[in-house]
Amino acid sequence: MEGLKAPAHRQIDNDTGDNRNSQTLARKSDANSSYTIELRNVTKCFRMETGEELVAVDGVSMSIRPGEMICVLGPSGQGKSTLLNLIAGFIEPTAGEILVRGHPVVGPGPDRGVVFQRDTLFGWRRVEANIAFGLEARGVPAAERRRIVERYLKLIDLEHFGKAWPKQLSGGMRRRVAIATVFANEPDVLLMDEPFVGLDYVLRAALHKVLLDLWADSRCTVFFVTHDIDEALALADRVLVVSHGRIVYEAPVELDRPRSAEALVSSHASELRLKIMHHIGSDSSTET
Amino acid sequence: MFRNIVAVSNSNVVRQIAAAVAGVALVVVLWSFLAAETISARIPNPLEVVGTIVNNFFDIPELKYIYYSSSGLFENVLYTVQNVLTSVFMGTAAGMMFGIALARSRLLKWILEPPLLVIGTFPVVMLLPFFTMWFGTDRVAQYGLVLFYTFITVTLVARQATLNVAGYFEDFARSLGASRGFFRYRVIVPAVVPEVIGAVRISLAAGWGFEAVAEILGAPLGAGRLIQVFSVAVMTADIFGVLIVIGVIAVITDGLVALAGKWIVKWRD
Repeated sequence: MEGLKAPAHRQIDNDTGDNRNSQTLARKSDANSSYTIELRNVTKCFRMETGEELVAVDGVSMSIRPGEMICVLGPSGQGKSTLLNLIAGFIEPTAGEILVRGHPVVGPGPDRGVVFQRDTLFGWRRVEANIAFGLEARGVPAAERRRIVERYLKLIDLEHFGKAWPKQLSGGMRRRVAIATVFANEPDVLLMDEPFVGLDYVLRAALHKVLLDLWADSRCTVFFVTHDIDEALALADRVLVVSHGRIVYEAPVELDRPRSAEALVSSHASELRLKIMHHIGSDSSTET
Repeated sequence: MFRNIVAVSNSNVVRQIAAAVAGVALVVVLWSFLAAETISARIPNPLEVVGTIVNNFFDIPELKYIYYSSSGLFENVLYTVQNVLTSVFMGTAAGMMFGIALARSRLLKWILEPPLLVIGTFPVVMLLPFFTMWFGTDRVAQYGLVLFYTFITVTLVARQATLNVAGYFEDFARSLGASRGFFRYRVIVPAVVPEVIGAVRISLAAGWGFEAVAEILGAPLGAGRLIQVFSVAVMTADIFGVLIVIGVIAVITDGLVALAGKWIVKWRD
């Protein structure tokens, strides 16, 4: 398998009162140990058709702790998605090093699940088969696959839609299935590239809840790319602002969870929002 | 509401069938009119043609004078149908495998794509003398042409469909842990099937004609051979009969493939 060594198949406790698995517990106990994601002076250049070189990511260094949810903000074309693709292993850095759980990234792998902006449901597979795709690819036994799929169908509130075709689902339902497909594979890292862009406010809020519920259950590390400041404040433990391929601002979001509408207009949130807006499009050096 | 939907769909189907029957009836009326205006050797009337189908069904005595053995419309048409279906099936299987491989392997693409694109431009019927030279009147010569056409058509369609699918899904599948083989059989193959079904229908539509031409050039049996024999004997009504039988079989086959295709890709809008 490409990328890092695939995680061993995990035993999931099926207690009614406690849905944590042993890996989740291990992630929590790892919270104070090594970082899950480390970028060390990473640069990525693309050669254009004109022969010019475009520096999409410029000497970025950052570390993300286990279980942390990071939102990366910035205008379009500033390197956010390139950073995500580098961590995912879809592209290689021109310079620098990317480590996930201490191991260099050499390609995509099931330890780094990706939720794309575009619809990636396999139309020829029913909902339950979509969710089971990664499990099937990794050779998880059929009985275990069924259990995991049923569990995630319940978590995303689509337990009666297991046999449905993707074409029979609404846009919001399809997004839920896409997220569940990746979570069901129990990645160490979840990379999300503007997954909710174009959705209305109500649907987006519902999908935030689905994501947060699944994240609370699995406690994987999340790297979430967005250009929506409110979305970042609603989700993140920490926000990073990327501009011209560099991290120009980084700050913790010190709001209690679950984040109410009142919390999102509190003085801390408002101050953070102003600072983020100030740095979006800025090419000043990193400031905390 | 469900009853209304069924009623509306049923009435749509009934309307479609009625329109089709009306269309055929119109053609028959026009044909009868034209037949009445000329001699039977040019345009026989519909009843005469139906008569030849019935008379020739199990035995065609005229064949004895040419081939020293007799066979009927059924046996000859069966020969043609078997050749067309076998060659389309083989061409589809080979074309799908080759098209997917061509899209997935850079080496194969560099080596084989240029000659494939050139060969694909050849008028297919021009290859017929070569098949006859190489295989004589053997059955291979008859279905070789249809097989070749189907193979090229399906290869090009499968190749393009694979490129589209791989570009869209490959990163996602790899991030879920899919190996190349798993991706090929669980993603690419089901995803390209709708396009391949379209190519199969095109190949079938053209295949009947190519098969008939190949049989005319030299075959022990077949609809094409019958057409050749009847044309030498100026048996126009019998030629019409063969054409109508082949045409009906072609429509039924296409319908069955379309139905099967609809079931196979029921996941699609």
